[in-house]
Amino acid sequence: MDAETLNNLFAGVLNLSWQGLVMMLVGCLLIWLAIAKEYEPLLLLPIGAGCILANMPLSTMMVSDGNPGMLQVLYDMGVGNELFPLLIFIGIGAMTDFGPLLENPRMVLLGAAGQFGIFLTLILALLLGFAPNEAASIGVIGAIDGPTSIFVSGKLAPEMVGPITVAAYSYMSLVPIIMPPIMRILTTHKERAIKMPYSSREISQKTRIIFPIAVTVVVGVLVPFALPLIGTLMLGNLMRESKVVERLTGAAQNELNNIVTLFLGLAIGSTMVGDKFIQVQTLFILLLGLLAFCLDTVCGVLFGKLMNLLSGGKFNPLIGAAGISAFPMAARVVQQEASKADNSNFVLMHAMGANAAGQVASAMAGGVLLALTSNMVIA
Amino acid sequence: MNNLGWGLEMLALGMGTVFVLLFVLMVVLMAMGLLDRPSRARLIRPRAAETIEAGETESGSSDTAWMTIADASGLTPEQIAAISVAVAMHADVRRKQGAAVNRVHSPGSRLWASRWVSMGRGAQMQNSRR
Repeated sequence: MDAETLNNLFAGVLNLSWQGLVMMLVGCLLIWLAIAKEYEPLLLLPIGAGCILANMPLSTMMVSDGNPGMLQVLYDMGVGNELFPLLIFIGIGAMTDFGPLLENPRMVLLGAAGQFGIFLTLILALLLGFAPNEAASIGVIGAIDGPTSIFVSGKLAPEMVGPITVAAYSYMSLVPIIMPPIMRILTTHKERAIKMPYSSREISQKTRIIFPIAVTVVVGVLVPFALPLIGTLMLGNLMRESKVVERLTGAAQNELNNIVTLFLGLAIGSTMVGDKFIQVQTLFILLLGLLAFCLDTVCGVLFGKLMNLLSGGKFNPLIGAAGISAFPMAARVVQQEASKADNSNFVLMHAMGANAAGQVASAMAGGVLLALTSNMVIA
Repeated sequence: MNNLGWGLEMLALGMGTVFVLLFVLMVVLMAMGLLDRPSRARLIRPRAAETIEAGETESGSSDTAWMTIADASGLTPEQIAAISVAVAMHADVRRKQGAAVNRVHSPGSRLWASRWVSMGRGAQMQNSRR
């Protein structure tokens, strides 16, 4: 047996690197979080698997005989050109009921307040020495919306898509842990116990159909950069509300969403290659992402307190925290906190309205961010 | 420091734009809400069987009611509700008598699955769960 044969036989062992091993452990950690803790398992499990596969020595999943391997093909197919996040948005639109928002349109403003974290984190990232396009990409973690984060960071700083996606999805799954302490610190027991009467108003199918079309036209004309995100979100919702394309709606909610989630997870995982991922910068991204999330919650609650003041104490400020995009976890957490203060307090439907607004607002904020930074990156 | 200035500009411009956009959206939604108010003609008022037969319309019914179940045979809404519950419960009892343990779905809805196959599948699923 000659030396070359031996080399070929043990190529894997000979090409092991410590960075690769560390990243394989990171991949295992993500898989453990998905299985044992059930933190966003649909995405963290494929990301973990993609991370392990991409960090194998001489991974043929990335490059095989000079040709792109499966993971690289998936990346080129849907992450590099922003296709996958948009397809996921169609599924999200098909699954989201904007009824609570249509019943109470004033909640729309709470969705805007929930986006403050994006821009405040952008400033902090600039102070830490990140370039403007990188800072904007990190800030968008504050949208607390996976597809928006991937879409915006993919355009502004493609090399940072991996850590940004992991941060966005990890923190989304930590909504029930991160939000309640902030909400309790910023509000008094009396404020949390404020009861808000809710009268359900029937929304006609006509209005439900006009809503996605109107939003698409308004946003598309005013902020064209947000059109891909809002347009696909509203397309999914239009299919849902039209009630004439049940098969398409079902496919968008299930088959399309599931397949794209798997492909997206694997492709994102493949970007977490050791020598690029193991950097101080990654740690900063994760920390700043967490900060963005906290700032969103803080600003949401503070805006809720402002509405409480303007309404003469009739508005429960906790609802402001539901203005972030994590749908519907944020609304559920708000209801839990209100119930803890007074177990007969029912604010869920108000919170759902704010949460649905957050969904639209985060996509808009992503588009606005792209519009403001377009001259720097997008050629 | 230049970057910081740019960041502050982004904050003001970005959040300003987001707020303005969402304010416009709020106005649009409110306008849609106003146009979507139910007209009085759309309200179906409760009518008793006698008035239906007499071709008369009962006056003074509640405007807040969207729709009241009425029946030409003269049954009151309460009686109709009671009969509906009884029918549903009877169907449920019949279903349990037909397949006491394993059949969760309505009879006939899973024509491809025999009782024993369903039971086996159920047991398999249980085993795989923690």
